[in-house]
Amino acid sequence: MKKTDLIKIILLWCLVALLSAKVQPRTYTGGTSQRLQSKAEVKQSALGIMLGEFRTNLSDMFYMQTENFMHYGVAFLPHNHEEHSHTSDMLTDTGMAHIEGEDETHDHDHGHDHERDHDDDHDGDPHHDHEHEVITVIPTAEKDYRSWLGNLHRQIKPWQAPGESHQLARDVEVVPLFRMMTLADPHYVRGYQVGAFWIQQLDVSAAADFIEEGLQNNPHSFELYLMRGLLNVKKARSMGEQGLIDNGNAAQQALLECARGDFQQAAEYMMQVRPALEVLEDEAQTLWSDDQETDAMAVVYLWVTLEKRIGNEARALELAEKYCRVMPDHKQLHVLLQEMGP
Amino acid sequence: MICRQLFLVARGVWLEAIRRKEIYVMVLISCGLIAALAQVRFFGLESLSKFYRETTLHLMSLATTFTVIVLASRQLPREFETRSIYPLLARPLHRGTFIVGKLLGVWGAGIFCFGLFLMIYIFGSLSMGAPIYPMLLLQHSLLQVEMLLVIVSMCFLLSILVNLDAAITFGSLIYLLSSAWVTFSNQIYGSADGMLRFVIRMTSWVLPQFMLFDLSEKNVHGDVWGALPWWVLAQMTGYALLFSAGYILLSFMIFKRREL
Repeated sequence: MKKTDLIKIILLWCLVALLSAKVQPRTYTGGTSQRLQSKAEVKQSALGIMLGEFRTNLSDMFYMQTENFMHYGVAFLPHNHEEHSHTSDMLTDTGMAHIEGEDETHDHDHGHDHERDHDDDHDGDPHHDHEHEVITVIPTAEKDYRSWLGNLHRQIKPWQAPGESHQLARDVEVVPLFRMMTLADPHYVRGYQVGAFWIQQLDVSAAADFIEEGLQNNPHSFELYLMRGLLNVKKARSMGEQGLIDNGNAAQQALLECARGDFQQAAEYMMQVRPALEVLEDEAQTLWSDDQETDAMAVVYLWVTLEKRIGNEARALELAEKYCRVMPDHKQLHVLLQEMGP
Repeated sequence: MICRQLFLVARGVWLEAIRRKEIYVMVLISCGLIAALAQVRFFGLESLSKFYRETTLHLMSLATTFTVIVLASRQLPREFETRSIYPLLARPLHRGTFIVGKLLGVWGAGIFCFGLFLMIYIFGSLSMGAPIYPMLLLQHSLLQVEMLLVIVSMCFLLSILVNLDAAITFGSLIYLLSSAWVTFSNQIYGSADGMLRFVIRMTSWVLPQFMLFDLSEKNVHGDVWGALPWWVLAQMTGYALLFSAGYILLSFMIFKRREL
């Protein structure tokens, strides 16, 4: 080896070391997972349909895999309708439906779109029946040109006729997939959010750690602050007898105070990213998803409710008035405002 | 006499597989991955096993298939390249026996690999306390073994038609894209015109649909899916034998005409 070659190698080595010291993978904000517009484009792409689970990036692939897990392996074509709102489930699961404590028969419809939610009849049932007609990857016998090969395919793979009501597993086995998808894309907020929902069913502390990791990677995500607040409420409720909040319990009150701070922070970040009303009406599909709006409504409702619960009635009233103007369609908040009104 | 000749040819394949280091590497890496995956505890949570089972079953299938593709594609070109086919065929050894012996050798090596992975999978599942569905696992193994037979015979045919590298590449592509092609053709068939429909139908009968030999999803979600009915297994066995016989027959016919 010539002396000049050796010098070149050393220089190259130094350059690589210098450049790699500057590499910060977590500052990368690209990827299709974050932008709804990109997702919509991918879903219309013929190539995307052809390549099935490889149609988007790795993170989306893991997210789609969770759907397979939830349907016991039955593969459906990509569809826009989400099976359920995890925020809604989380509200019930963390006991926010009973945040008032005294009123156990309180209406469960807290700040979220109830039509998207599960039937309350299914609570506690590990399986949920769904009536939405979604198309399976393996076609029905009538649409399958392969005749007996198609029949074999439907026998060998998990398959259900699209029209039949299909079972939806509430299975914590999806948890590893959320770990993988957030490792693949640390800015996949929905992965952290839905993942934490599943993890908290087994271990609230592990879910809280997962959300903390999500917040480190996405410090301005209002959805993750919402989730952290809900987890704090769940922790507080787990300390009380029969899950009730006791005003004299300092630990519970401290956690509720943390939750209040989370909801406040969430509301502030939400207002920074939520488009104006007139924009929402025109381009709601690409700029702001239904899930985000559900979360936004939950954030303000929970903040107002918690302020009221802590005893800041005036602050709660002020906030309710403010957010009723911002969200004129938020029925539950309007009802709350009427209850609190002078 | 023929049985002995078949055994001797097959033994030659096994000895070569032992000598070749890349097969070891592929199998050892896969075994290591499967064993390591069994040790992962997501968020420190116990009793999560579906991810392990699903990943492992796919890894087992993928690693075995690639091992077999490499091994099968190499058999005939290597014999010509090293000229070892001449002393072999100088003996009273029929060319058909030679090909079938090679087929059994590679198939046997594939079954050995799969069996090894299967043992690690079962051990890993048991150590995690994960459920195993014996009948589904047995049926999955049987289908995988049948798939290996089809792949070996397909790679033999490819290796006679094209060179070694192309045979490995085509074999891998056909295996990997088989599932995507079926999904795609199902989607476009309704909107395709007469000619395209003919092409789609032709490919579905000429190319084997490898995803039919994969029962891993039902093994993962075995709590809701039962074992396959016997007639499905019988039809799949027939399907595998038909493709394998067709490929081997074609390989033999071309090999027979080939000048040595």
